[in-house]
Amino acid sequence: MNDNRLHVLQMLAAGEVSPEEADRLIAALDKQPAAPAARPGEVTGGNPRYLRVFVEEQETDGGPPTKVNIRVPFQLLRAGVRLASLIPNGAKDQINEALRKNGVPIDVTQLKPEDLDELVVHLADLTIDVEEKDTKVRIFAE
Amino acid sequence: MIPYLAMVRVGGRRRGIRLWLPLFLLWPLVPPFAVVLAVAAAVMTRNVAAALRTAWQLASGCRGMHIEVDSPEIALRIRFI
Repeated sequence: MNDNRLHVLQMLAAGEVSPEEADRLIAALDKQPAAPAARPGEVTGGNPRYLRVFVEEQETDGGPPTKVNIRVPFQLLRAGVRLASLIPNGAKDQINEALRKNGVPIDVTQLKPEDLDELVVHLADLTIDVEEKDTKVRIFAE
Repeated sequence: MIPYLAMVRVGGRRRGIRLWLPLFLLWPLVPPFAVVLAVAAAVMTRNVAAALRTAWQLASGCRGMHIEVDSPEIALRIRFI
């Protein structure tokens, strides 16, 4: 299922479009010519601009699920990494210690914008799907 | 470009509250905030230009951010445009 079709279905699930409108949108997508196949090593999605995180958790009492949908611009992530480089060294040690105590062993002194750019390039072709009994998590770049 | 509008919706589609917050009205507050940030950056990091540049990137990076939470207790949507 491509991203456009998925987006239409998400709009339908969210009640933003009626079933008839969703049907017309999907029919319009079907009429579009298929994209040419990507060559080996080619980034199919271009340079992604957003990181999308979907979380869906079923209620234990059988009620409607809890859904979280977050779209974060990579520009904001880059700015956050640059912000980390401005933190004084004494504060960085305290942050590292606090992160380690909370089970996140990340060294903020090692965060560099260049590393994030490399990560973004690789995220273009990566989708993370986690499915458990009551919880689904999907992370991808778009 | 920093966001000029925030759309906030709290509650269901029919009975919820929908707000369009004109962030561009806050833009005149940016220069005084930048001065305060510059002073703080000068004290803490001694790299005023980088701090101001990062602050601007943080503000402009919010554009396009969507946060949607839909649960039995609360439905919340925030979009920065």
